[in-house]
Amino acid sequence: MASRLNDRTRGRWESDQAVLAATAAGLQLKLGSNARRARIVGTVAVARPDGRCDDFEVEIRYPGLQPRELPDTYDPVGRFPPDPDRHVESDGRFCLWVPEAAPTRAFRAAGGLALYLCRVQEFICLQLMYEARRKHGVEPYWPGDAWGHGDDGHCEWIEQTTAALDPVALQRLLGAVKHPGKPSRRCPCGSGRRLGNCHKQWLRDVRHTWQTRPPAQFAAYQVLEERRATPPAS
Amino acid sequence: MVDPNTVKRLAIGLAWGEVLVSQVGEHGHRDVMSIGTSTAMAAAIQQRLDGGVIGINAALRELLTGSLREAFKWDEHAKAYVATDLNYDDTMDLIASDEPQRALGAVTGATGIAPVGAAAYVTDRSEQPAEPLKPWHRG
Repeated sequence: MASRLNDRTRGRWESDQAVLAATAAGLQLKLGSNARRARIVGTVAVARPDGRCDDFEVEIRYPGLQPRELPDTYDPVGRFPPDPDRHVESDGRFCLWVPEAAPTRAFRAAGGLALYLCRVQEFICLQLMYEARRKHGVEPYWPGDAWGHGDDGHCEWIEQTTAALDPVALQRLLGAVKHPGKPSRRCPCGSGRRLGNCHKQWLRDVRHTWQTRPPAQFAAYQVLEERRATPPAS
Repeated sequence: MVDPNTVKRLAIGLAWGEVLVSQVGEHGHRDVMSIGTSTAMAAAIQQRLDGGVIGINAALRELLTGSLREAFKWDEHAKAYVATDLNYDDTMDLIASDEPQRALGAVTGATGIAPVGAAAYVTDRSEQPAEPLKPWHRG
């Protein structure tokens, strides 16, 4: 195990353990000697609207042993039944965000785990609000904003993040996803700024999503086609 | 330990309106009297309800806001707006769900308050430059 962890990785795990000890005493980092994946298991305390705290079991699974890779959170006991409307998948995974909007950079930074736990707590709070609304027939059942399911969510994200771009600029931007080039060159969106100061992170988020979820690419080009078909606003 | 099977499920009737409550009679022989329909209306609503149901009149429902108001739906049999199995937690969650992002800010602030000596780990949304949580589903 020790040979698989360098000093930088080990330091982050240690700081994450300190975060858990300080803010989420019910959670434990599992980094066993034979483990291929790191996990955080236990209960997370969630404050209710009146200030009381309730505990909920969660399992936070990392993709591997890298502490800076954004993990997924699961409901190991079935407290929140799988349902697309409540953003819980069939295996109990919480769909906290559309992949393009995942806070990968914030998670890599110091304190990223605290931010992530904060989001998990918020998601559980929303689940409880959802249950109350559904129980009493208050529509829409999901409180607050949510991305559309499946490819609709990808389309919404592309539309929102490129709303100011015309079809030509969007096409250039999508064309640069797989080969963005150096950060010092001009951004393909046509803003005149350097890529590193403009759409660098956008391209990275989209590229990562396309690699892990290829249908997102078709959704992006669908947005482009729709924008071409829409006459420009005068 | 209370046996769940023996727990009584109450029917509650509530009505809003003006009512004058006083006492009439002589010393030692006084009766409570009320002038106005609200008390009688609340009693009438309560008598038409099943256990575990809260019934309210239209005037009272108008005083509620947002999701809590929507939770009370018209029931023709009870001639009132009713909510079934509405408990304290549901009420708080319904109210919070009307402004979820505001509620979440307070919630995460409350949950994330770290013990003394670990103030750096306060997971307060106000200190995190993050977008509001917006879930997705793979579909």
